[in-house]
Amino acid sequence: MTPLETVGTFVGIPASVFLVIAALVYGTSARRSKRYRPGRPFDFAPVWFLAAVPDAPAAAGHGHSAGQLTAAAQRTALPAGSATPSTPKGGASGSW
Amino acid sequence: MVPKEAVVREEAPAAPAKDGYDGSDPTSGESPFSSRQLIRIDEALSAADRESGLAFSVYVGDLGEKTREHAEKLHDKLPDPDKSVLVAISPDQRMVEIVTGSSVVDRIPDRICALAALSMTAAFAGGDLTAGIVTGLRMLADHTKV
Repeated sequence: MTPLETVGTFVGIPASVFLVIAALVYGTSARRSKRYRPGRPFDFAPVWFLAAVPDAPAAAGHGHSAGQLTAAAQRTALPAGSATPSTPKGGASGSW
Repeated sequence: MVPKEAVVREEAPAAPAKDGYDGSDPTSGESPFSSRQLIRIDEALSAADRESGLAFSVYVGDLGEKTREHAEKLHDKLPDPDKSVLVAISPDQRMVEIVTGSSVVDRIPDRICALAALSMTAAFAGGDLTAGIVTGLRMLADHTKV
């Protein structure tokens, strides 16, 4: 065994194994970092989910954009309505 | 990829000044949800709407200092507030607000909302927004009186 082979066996192989494991660990955690963690600031864009409105009048024939369009149309009409006092609401709150 | 006809993503009116989020690609930009999680939320929303006949919606974002007030304002902006249920989640304030419309109050009592909120916060405390949303929607829909 030449000195070069000795170094390759006892240093090179462990080092490469270490690098592979390190890449696996940090690679997956970097991919998973974009999510909510309790206690950390939530710096994502706000999202609002609505289910599709099946009986929306504009939905016929326009496929996927209809839901968004009707929602947008209704939202632009809102300022007038939002001035009226809202009806009594129910619900609950929770904190964690 | 989430079918676009099922989920409408809109930027909140009171959102902090950020780039417009047009919802064209759920995986790009700054979405806290992966595609698979979006599909789960979408399915839970559709199932809740179908089972109860009510309009459920889920908001995830900042609610400001007065979370309840802000959530009720958002609820007023829905197409038909009286028949709508808004689940508003503010991870920054660590608050969840469930707002029910005036004609929903009889069908989903506040006690059920509190129970749903409790189970949601249990999941949120573990950092799992999706599981909390899905659980909350399922509980609300399951306990909706006919």
